[in-house]
Amino acid sequence: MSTSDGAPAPDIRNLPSDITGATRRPRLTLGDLWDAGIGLLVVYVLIIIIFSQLSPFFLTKNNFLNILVGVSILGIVAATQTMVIISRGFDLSVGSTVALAGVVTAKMLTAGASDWLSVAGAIGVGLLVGVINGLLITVVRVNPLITTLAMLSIVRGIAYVWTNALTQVFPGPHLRWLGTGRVLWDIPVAVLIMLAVFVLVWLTLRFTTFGRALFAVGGNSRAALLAGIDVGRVQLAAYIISGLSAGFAGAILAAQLSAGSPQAANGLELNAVAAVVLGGASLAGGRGRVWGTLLGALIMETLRNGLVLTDVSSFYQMIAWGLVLLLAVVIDQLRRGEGA
Amino acid sequence: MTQSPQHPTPTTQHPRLQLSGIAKAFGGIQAVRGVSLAVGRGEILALCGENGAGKSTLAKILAGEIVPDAGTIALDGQEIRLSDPAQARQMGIAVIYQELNYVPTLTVAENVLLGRLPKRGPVVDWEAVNREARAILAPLAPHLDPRTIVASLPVAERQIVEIARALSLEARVIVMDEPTAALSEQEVQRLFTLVRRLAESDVSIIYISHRLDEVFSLADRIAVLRDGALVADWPTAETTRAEVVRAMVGRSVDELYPRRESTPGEPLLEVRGLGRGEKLSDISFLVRSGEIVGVFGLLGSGADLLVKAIFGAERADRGEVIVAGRSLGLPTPGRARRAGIALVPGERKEEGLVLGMSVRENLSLSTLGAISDWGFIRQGIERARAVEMVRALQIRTPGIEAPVGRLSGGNQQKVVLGRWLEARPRVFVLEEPTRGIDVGAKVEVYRLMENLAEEGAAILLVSSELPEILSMSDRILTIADGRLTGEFQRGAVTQEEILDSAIGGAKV
Ligand SMILES: Nc1ncnc2c1ncn2[C@@H]1O[C@H](COP(=O)(O)OP(=O)(O)OP(=O)(O)O)[C@@H](O)[C@H]1O
Ligand SMILES: [Mg+2]
Repeated sequence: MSTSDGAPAPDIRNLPSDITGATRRPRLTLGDLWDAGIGLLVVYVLIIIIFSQLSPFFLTKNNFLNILVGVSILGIVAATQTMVIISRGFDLSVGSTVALAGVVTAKMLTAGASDWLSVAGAIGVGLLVGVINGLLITVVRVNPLITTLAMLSIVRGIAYVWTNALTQVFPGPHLRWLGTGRVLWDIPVAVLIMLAVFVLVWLTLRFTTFGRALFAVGGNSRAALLAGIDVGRVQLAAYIISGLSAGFAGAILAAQLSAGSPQAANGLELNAVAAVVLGGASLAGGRGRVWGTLLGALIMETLRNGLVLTDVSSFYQMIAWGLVLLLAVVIDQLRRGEGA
Repeated sequence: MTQSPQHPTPTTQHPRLQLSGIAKAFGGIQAVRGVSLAVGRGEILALCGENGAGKSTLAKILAGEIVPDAGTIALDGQEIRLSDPAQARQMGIAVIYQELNYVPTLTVAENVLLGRLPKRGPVVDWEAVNREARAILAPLAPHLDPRTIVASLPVAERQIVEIARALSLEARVIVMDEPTAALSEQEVQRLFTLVRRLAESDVSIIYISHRLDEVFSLADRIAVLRDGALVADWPTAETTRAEVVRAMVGRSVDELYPRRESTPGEPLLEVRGLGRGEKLSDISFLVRSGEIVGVFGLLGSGADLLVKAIFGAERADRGEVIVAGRSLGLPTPGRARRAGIALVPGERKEEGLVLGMSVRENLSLSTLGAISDWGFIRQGIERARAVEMVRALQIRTPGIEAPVGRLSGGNQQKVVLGRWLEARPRVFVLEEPTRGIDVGAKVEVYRLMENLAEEGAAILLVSSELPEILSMSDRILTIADGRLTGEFQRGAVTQEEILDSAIGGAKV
């Protein structure tokens, strides 16, 4: 049972290396199931059942592809936001970055740049914002909330000033493959990219030293520092990754709209944070699951889609959205209150 | 294997506190099994036992924080039910927890008088608050300013705040769970004076500690828990250290400190003119391969700052650290780790552990680079290493996947230590490495230190336990007021001389 039981300690150098019997699965509790995301899945299935009763158009392949396309931009930024939040950070600048990156894409295409180059330009904008966020937070040590809130305003402002608040339409065929392209089994390219981002983030969090460091930094940054982890570098990397994904998402959004709009993706940052929290991450850091985030984003988009299909006014949609978020957070709080 | 428990014989008709058949299990682990124990009026009972024996669980039961699965508690002959901490306090039971729980953002005075701030009408009377807090603190820490924010204090003083609060509650029973773990000699003596005075005024004390010196000098009776059961209970005069140790660990521990011959080799760690403002003035010394150098300083001497600065965890503003001839300049933790320095920090909860992570994840935190390919952690190796370390250090845990926060205090300490053993560094900076660890495990840690030194590591040991410093170090440095005030060779110095030297340089 216990690994010690009073036997004299063997010398640390010549130990058997078999690992049998050292771990024991604890009993599963409801809290564990919620932890594993089952609760969220149940909520999602319930939402689907309800809407499929209310609207005949809801449960169709086309509508589901709509939902998936609709969630792709949010999903991409929410996936990387998960990393930032696990490290006990915040990135509120992603919505503005998406907009500015979209504008850059449109401007570059109009100026004659190739598809690839303009996507690279968009990603470059994201990189720049991420680096600035990261350096301000890790080197100058400004609070992440304030830093990224300021960047939210600055970046959006730049997009407006640069375009005179006018949407930049770019010529037809450019980026069509990215915006409305479909590949195997008719899956939209944007959806595939989103899924790829989720898989990448999951691999990173689950299997890499960087992922482990993110959890450690978020859980106890002092202990992480004293364990010899380069806390500043880990945080910097998280903001850069978040910026990069926002830049990429900006290019995709521009491709979907065939235009770069300075007012695009307004409020996206809050939806991203909401999806992450809905998915089970803790704003206090050290805890989070990227598949939970995907589910959280899907719930939000499905709810929106279903309410539109059932002709509910958008004001009610806002209320419903808020209620779902509160529900998730309350359940999470109750679970933690059990003293798990 | 164990001795038959002697049934408690109450010293008076009604003992102050009588526990009967107390039991508590966490999931599959039986933390406390049928413990019956009595404490008389004004009696000081010491409670000893290995890490994970169930001592803190028992303390938390008395605090009303944990409800036992079975058994009864009687206070002055009257059976009581403790279902929450407020109730226990009303009954006159005060508990000082092993893991401190103060409110870091409040002042010392507010913490001491938490929940009973003196008021004038509806408003808090701040003058009275500070006056009362000062009076309560006076016998323990006369210099402590009640208006200081607790978060800005070193652990030892935070601990004093906790102790002062509990002692001032006018309790009938005070339970102290390793209260001296973070204290230095001087404060320990002040605390003992106060505890004896309380006992004389009929307060009953349950004193939990791994420091047998303290137990023998303070307690009237000694009880031993093993695997959750009470296995021995003697009047202090009728037992010996060896007997207590045997009851605790189930075998005899003949020699606490290994005898070692050291043959120092080439210099491995050199500290040159390290300083920070007024707090650390230009400290220089050298630790050779195979050498254990002890650093001793009283509270506020700068010893903790010095070791943190060597690792780069606290900023120094001048000087340099040289490892094996290569200068790190002013180190950062990352650079220090890569250069082969390990730091075992003194405050396990704040500085040592990521409480939300498992035992395995905490153990591998400093060796992630070594157990990964292209940034991907090799899970099999990580698990195998964790299992080995759990065995080697006898970490009592349900498994390597258990959240580290569920382990007993001493077992958590072993995890912090184990993390760095994995890293096999050349220079070890050990800050209070045996804090909260039981005798059996202590011997293992000492033997381990010796092995590491024999293999050529350089070890810098910072400890507030003088016997530990005296027995383990080849050389001892004393520090006071941010300056090195003495250097002594092993064997050629007494406890008094070291204390003198550590007090000597201090502004009093
Ligand atoms: N909240 C908890 N959940 C699960 N197990 C627990 C919990 N608290 C304690 N335990 C287990 O109960 C046992 C007794 O723990 P306890 O903290 O009482 O030990 P202790 O005697 O105080 O040890 P130490 O000397 O290390 O402080 C340990 O095996 C510990 O892992
Ligand atoms: Mg304990």
